[in-house]
Amino acid sequence: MSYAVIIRTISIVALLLAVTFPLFDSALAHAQSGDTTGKDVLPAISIGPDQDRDFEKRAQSLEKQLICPICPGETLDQSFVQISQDMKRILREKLQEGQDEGQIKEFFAARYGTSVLAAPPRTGFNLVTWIVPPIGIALGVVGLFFVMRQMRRGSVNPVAAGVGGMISDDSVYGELDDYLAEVDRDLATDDSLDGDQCDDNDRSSEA
Amino acid sequence: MADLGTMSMLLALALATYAGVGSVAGVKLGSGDLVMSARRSAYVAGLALTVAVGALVYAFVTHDFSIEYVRGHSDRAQSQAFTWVAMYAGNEGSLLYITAIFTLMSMVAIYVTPRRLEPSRPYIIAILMGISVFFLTVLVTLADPFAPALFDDGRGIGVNPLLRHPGMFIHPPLQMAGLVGVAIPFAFVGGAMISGQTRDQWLDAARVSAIAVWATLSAGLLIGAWWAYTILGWGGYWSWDPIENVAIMPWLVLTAFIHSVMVQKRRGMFRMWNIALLSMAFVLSQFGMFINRGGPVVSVHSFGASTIGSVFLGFMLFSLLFALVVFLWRYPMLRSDRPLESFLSREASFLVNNFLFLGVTFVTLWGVLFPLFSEFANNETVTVSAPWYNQINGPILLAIVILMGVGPLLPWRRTTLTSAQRWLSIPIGISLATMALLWISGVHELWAIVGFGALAMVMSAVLEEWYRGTMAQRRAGLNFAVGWWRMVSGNRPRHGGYIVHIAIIALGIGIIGTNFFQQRADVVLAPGESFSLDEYRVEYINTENEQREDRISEWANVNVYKDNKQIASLAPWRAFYPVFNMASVRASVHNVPLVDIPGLPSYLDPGLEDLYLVPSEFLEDGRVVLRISINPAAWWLWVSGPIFVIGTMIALWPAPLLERRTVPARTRSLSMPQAGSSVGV
Amino acid sequence: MPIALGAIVALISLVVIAIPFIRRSGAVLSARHSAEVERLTRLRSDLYDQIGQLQTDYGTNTVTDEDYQHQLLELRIGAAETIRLLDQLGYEDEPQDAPAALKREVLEEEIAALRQAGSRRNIGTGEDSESGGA
Repeated sequence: MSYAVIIRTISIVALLLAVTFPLFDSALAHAQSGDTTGKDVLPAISIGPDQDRDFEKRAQSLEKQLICPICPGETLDQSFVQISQDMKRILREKLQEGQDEGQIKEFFAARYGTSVLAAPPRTGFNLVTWIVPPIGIALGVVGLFFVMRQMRRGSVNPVAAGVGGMISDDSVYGELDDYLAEVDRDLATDDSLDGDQCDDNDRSSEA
Repeated sequence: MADLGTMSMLLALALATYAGVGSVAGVKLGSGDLVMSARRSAYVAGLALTVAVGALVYAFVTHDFSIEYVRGHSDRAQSQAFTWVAMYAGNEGSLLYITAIFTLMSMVAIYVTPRRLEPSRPYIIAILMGISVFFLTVLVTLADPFAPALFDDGRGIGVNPLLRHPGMFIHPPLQMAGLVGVAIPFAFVGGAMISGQTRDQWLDAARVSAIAVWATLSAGLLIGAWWAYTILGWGGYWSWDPIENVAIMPWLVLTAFIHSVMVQKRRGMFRMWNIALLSMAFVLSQFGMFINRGGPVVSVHSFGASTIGSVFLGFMLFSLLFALVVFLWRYPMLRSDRPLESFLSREASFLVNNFLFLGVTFVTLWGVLFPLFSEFANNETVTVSAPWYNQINGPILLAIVILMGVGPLLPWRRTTLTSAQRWLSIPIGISLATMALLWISGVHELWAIVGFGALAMVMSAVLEEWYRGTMAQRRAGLNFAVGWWRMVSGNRPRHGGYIVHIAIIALGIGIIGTNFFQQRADVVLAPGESFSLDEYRVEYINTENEQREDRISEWANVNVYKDNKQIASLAPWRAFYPVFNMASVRASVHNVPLVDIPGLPSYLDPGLEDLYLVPSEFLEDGRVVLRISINPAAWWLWVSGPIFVIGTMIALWPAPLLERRTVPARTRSLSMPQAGSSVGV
Repeated sequence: MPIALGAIVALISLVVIAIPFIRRSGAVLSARHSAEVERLTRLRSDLYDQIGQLQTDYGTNTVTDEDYQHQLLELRIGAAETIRLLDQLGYEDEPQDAPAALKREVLEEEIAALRQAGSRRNIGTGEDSESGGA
């Protein structure tokens, strides 16, 4: 039994699995026919005022920034329990009154604790949450730059350059490719002759 | 059955211990027989674990409530099909599954270890069996799935309602298999390091197993997202929940590895770095197990048993130590062979790729750990959730997408700035044009525009590569289709990778669409009432209900109209489970097609947007509280799955060996006309 | 009944892991192929020397461009095959999946031939017809 057969089998099974499930999600909808003739369209009532789409959008955005106090890690827009519905109502009332996001969030934080906010406030100790990633990334960029410079410092061995360049992009020799690469490395550590024998420009050798 | 299960686990424990210890002892003592026997022991351990799993599943299917675990996670009312998968629902059973699937995967890995890695095989076995022994010890001592029931009243409690969904058949097994499978490439490297095979003998084994595990993880994550989309009912699919995060971190590191291993294969560079990546992925997967099983973080997913948590933490730290020791010991032998010749090269772009992926990993890890840190240092509980992750990870992910459009066009080793400009001009041009078009057509969401622009660049980079490659094949007189296939077959890892990039594009389209352009309304409707959202009108007809032994289900019959034409009849439902005092919903999702392909069912048509309905409450007077969402481009999220799989399959499809190919006449025989024998290639 | 099943599984396991000791293939792992390993390693060094010679020749313009590429490729392939055989020696007696053409003897023949070609090249310059003879 070879690598090839095993990998093929596993992959095909995975393919079948991946293909069959998610695309059928609509099929799970329990379709039933109903009476669709001539009903009057009556105005519907929503939890918040629905006439103003922009207002609703602001309210929904705020919902995503608050956590339901009794649910494990769910934001208000994910949660349907009573306390969440109440909070949604309250925040819409406050928005109507003209309060802004910051004030509303402060209100809830005062009532339920800081953990009701979906992201830590950018004040005091919690500022650390926001600062560490950019600093880390910046340090990483600096580090990356130095690493790359360090890697450049090794001398470009022309034999390696010339000999190595002859392996074309396509893996013609299959398994032997790796051994050829090793041969080239062994040769490169001798200080043999120079000469960039082959044109290693990928773009032209790529058939 | 409990007895059989316990016996099998103990047997597996003994066999795995013997396999690990025997392998190493056999090498030290020079006894080939012992090594052989130890290897066989590993195979039989897998058999014993299969028997144990079989015993547990049998217990579930026959409703054997004398076993506490079966009692706690099933009941008689459960549909027969679900009894087969109920074992993953809890801590003990899922741990047994993990151990079994890991040992089975180890068996495969041990069996297909390439010949050139033969001297390392005993150590590979030792590492793999060591992990199995750890899991088995936990199972036998702390988390016994076969423990007897505290009292047996012949009835079970039943399975958590959220888990009664077809996704239960696929997501947990795939996800768990992927997470624990991360150990396999690590074992290949670790074993090679210990036995001294520090040349690149381990490279192919690690690379292939890493890609296979990566594909499993990808499938698990994607299907998990889909499951959340349909069962949690808020129309989302990823919430940066701690458990989701610990599952994606090894995936991110493996993605980095898959890319940088290509540099090692081709240029002999990044060796140390790749070993570090595999070790990181392995440690992160152990971290995931710790967080998942009694870690101190709150999540919708956690199993939550605290004593076990510290055991997994201990194992994670041990793994970290082990990796460090082995790595430092072999460090001198792992030098890179070649220098980096230019910042403007494919090698350099892979380094940047790694940096970015590790950046996302670091940010995610920080987000998971910060609440703990805050409690400890500041005595305050904070939540770090989606808004924070979106703001911090978002830009890094965008950078990754942009790099995906640039990297593949850079040649190996070095290129000049003018060359680079030439290759990049088309993708950048298309990207700018896309952004301009979007702006003109009324889309003013800045991040979304940039995101689409980046995705356009990736697509055009792939197409540019394929165009040039296919044109070259065409010179030999082949038509486009055959030429393209020839090109792909000629370098499968690369072109399979490009197809995976296309899957990412689909995923990206879905993410941008649903994230930035979702429209939602929560409405209360009386029978006969309608609500209009954008161009859709949702008309609520009535509610029907059904009472079953374990639940009460209600569904709302709804008609959906677009431009006054009916496009769907849907029935989103909600079920309440009195025993659990919990409700679960099933959303109705209608894929509104971008183009209606005749003959194809609607869910296979390329989707414009999803019309998504979920009932949050059924009121006494017959009214229903309904959530109506329009999720643009959601279909593209799911279609990325099959594309991923196809790309990975092509990338992994082994190329024919040298022996079977024809080599041009010049090299077939030696330069001496007299030499009769050919090299035979 | 389940306990009986468990006992059977245990028994099968014991038998399976005991078989290698019963069959007594007597495999002693260390230094088994040291002789072969040495020989192949020497072959590889030879080939490397050949390549070095070739490059020297090229540098002094004794060999044409075309020849150089051709012979360099052949020598490299030969060296690569040698290393591959070295790897395959592992714990097995013979590399079982190597097709006949790659068997050690055949390889050694060809390498010997290459060596001869090399020595002949050193003797005469440009007299041999290898460039066209492939």
